Amino acid sequence: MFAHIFVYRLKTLLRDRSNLFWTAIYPIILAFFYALAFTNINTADSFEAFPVGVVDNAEYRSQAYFIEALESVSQEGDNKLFDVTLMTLEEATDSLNNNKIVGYILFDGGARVVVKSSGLKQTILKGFMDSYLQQSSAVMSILHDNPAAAGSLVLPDRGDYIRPAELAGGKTDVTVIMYYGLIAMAVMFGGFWGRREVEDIQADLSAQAARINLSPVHKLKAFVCSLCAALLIQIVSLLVLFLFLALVLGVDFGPNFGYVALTCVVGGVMGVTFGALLAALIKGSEGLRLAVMLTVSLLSSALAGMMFPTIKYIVVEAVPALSYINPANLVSDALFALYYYGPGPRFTLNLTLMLAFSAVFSLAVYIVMRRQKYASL
Amino acid sequence: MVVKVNNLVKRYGDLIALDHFNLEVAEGEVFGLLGPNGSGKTTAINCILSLLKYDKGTVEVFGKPMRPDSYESKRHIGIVMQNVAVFNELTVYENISYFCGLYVPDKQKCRELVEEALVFVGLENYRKFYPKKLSGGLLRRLNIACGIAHKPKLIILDEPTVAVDPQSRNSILEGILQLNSQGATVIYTSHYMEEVEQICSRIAIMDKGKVIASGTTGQLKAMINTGEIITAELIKADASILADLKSLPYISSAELTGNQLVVKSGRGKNSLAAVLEYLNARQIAYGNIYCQLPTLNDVFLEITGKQLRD
Amino acid sequence: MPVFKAYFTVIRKNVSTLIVYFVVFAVMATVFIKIMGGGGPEEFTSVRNDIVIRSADNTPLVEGLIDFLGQHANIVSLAEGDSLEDALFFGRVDDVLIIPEGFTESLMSGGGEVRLERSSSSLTGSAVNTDLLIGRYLDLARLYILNVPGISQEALVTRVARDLDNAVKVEIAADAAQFKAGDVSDTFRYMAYTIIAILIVGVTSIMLAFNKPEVSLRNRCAPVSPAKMNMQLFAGNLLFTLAVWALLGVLAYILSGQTGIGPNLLLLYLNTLVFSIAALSIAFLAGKFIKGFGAQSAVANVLSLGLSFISGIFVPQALLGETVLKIASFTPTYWYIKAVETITDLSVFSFENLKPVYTDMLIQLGFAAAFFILALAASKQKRQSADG
Repeated sequence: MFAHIFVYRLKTLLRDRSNLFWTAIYPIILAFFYALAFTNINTADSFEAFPVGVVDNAEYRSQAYFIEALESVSQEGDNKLFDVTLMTLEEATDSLNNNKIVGYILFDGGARVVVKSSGLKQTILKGFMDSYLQQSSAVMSILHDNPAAAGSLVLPDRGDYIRPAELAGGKTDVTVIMYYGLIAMAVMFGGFWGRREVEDIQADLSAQAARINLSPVHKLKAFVCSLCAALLIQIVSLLVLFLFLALVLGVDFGPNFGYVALTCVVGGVMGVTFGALLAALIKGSEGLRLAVMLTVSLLSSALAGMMFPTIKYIVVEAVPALSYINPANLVSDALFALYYYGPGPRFTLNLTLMLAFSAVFSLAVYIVMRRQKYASL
Repeated sequence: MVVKVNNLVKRYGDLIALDHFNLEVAEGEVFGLLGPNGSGKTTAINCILSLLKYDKGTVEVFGKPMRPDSYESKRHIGIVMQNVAVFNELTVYENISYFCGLYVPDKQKCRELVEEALVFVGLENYRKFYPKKLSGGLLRRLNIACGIAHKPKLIILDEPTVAVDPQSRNSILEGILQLNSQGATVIYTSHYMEEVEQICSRIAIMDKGKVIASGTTGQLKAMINTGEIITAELIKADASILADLKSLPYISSAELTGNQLVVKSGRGKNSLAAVLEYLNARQIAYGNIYCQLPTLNDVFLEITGKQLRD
Repeated sequence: MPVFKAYFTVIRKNVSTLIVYFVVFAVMATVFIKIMGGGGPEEFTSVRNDIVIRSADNTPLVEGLIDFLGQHANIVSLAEGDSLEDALFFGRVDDVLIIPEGFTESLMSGGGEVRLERSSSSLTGSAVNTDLLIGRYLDLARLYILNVPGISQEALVTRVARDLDNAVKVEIAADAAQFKAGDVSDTFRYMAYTIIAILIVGVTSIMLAFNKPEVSLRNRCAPVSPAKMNMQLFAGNLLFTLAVWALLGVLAYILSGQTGIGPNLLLLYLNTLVFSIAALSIAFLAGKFIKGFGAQSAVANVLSLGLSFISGIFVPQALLGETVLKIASFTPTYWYIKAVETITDLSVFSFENLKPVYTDMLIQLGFAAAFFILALAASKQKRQSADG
């Protein structure tokens, strides 16, 4: 009997194009879009020199040291900060207004910088000017103490003080969180299968269920056999998604593929049982159940960092309890823990919670479904 | 008794859906449950099948109390519901095979039964079709096949011919008689009196959750006062004749609707001759004239004052 | 105009789905504005990084450095037990600075072998800011170390601090744009996603209703010429598009906290209007191929998200790869975003400056025309094959 129900259920679900699309195909399409958008994001960090104007007046020309300093940051090379153009004041104002330059430097009874808005480039321009002024002041104070040193003044090159380091073994690719969030979303979408399972066994939700209820097969047995088919499909979808991300798109999951697969399996169970519970609890039209399922799935995935990684962290900071109640977050956090720390206490905690949730959901569904007679059909 | 229902009461809040509903179906009968929409036929069926909670009363099937876990009884029941209950993702063959398999664990036996069912409903050429591609009539046939493939001893059909083409309808009715001749007891609910009259050996007429009359067709028609209905299409309508007609012996009513004259006469008397005599005497011209025995609709009409189908 | 009226009845039936998209837009815009927060040009404010500092070298020099950093960045202290890695990874802090033991000594002796360790979040990309700040302080320090032999740390710190008091005066140009460029740019970018999604859902709902075979045949038998019917449908589509554009425009205005309508905003609205027409043409074309409501939501989602991702709505164009941008340039969304980013920076509205904006808009209209023609060709094809 198990084989009979299982095989036919498998056939039925695999031909359910709508659910198959949303749970198996849509996440892959989305992942593909993510990959397209992220191709450059980690290398886009490198700094590019930007255009700056300098007003060519008499006062400027008298600043020999400044001219030298400016040259050192406007020549091709690692130190290049600016693309400098000399111009008149009118030209400078014009260029700034027409966004041809980020800002211009004006010597008019002292040094001045004119910009249009506050931003990183403007800050860097200001920083350069500040640095120059401060260095000049330092030089002047040194010479003031020791005028004789004028000849032998050593002007150090820009020092190399910083070694870019990486914490925890070189993981700086933030985009992985968005992919993990995507897997979390696919896990939650598994609820669609759970919903279908309940709708096809609760006689007050569909005619097919009524027919099944009138057969000599024990209702719970029928349900569990069908559910196994749904679980199989969902788990396979998740594993395929995972492999697609890891092998085709090259998303970094760390070296622990086995544990990631385990997460997918447990996640599959959790998502499907969650959907089943929602469907069992929500009476009313099919449209309502669908809407609730969609909203809950997307909301929980978004909070798990699917759309913007920082949200995940903010949630943890603001409401730490929430991060352990949100099933989607358990998934993305488990994957993150594996990636960043390897299989350790954090991963185990998440996985255990996922198993606990699955158990709770399953139990709840069982309790709700034991009702065999209905108040109305 | 295959089915015995005693004093079934079902309420939806203030609305009483089944009001002390009683039913007895003997083995080998084709029992009809007739009533207008909303009379409680489907509710009664669902309660009998233990799908629906009821407030009072008892239901026995095959001599044993019927409960949701009466699996042994369920094994021998086949149902054809009002809503088509098949899976859109499975073909005709797969649907029948799936449901049959729930009743008959033996794979080989199941295969044979499915083939027989396909032939029985005439869907052999459609076995690879998906339900979406079937017309209403064919879909209903599939619905039936799924319900009877396992050769149940008791078959319950709830309005199986709604929105079905005449050809399919006839084959369905014939099929039911065939199943009955093979030993199945049938409960058939409908609001189409012609069908019920055609195939049912005993009938119960329902209204507002109660059985208001039951018996064979003959017994039911004998309950009312009308024995004959004479309909004539007059060339020219003349209302003055109604009073005269009514005064004829055994005539219970005479009505004129447009050009159509309907005269009802008492039980057992052949009043056609009398009416013809009267019309000829008054030189009233008429076109078609025919007389009929009362229908179940007339039974219903007389008892409740309403039509069976409105 | 019965067809026209029927149009809006169908829209009304689907209003709940449409409302969902409006809400999503509003939420997206609000959330992102809160988190990213655009800057205002009222007065110049330097970008301040959030830095966490862990020092194993507690010397006056290091203290001086930290002090200086504190003036130009936000020094964040994480609670004990909060993971440094998490904070950095998720972009809660921009940099983590680790000052190893022996740093000061190595610096004072002129060798400079011991270096600071900096880890930066790749999300925010402003590591260069921190580097420059640190460089500035330490360059000054080295200047003294090299030219005032034997200078004590305390003296060094004092003198450096004094030098650091010098700062350049920064002015905002008089003609600077008067609105919060950042918020507006973001809001109008997300709008494109919403516009596509809503138009596809709305237009295809209509087309599904009207293209049902029974309905279509019935329409062909009616005494209204097909041309007239198409015109009414077209008018309905246009009105719907305008309504969506206006509604989103108002929403955007409120959400980005605008006060008053300047030329930038007007240009943005014009750009959005042009884009809406292009989106309508996409929806129209998509509608020719959508057969059912399941397909409708799939297509609406996939198309709107897909175009958004590659055109620079969720990930700014500056951060997208070249190939992606090339692909995206075959969609109107790319040109819309490009125009938005140009417009928000404008403060002088000369023809010279507006030329690229107008070009972008014309390109979008070009796409609209192309899609419309394609759609008409597709429906002619279908009709011919159905009749023949």
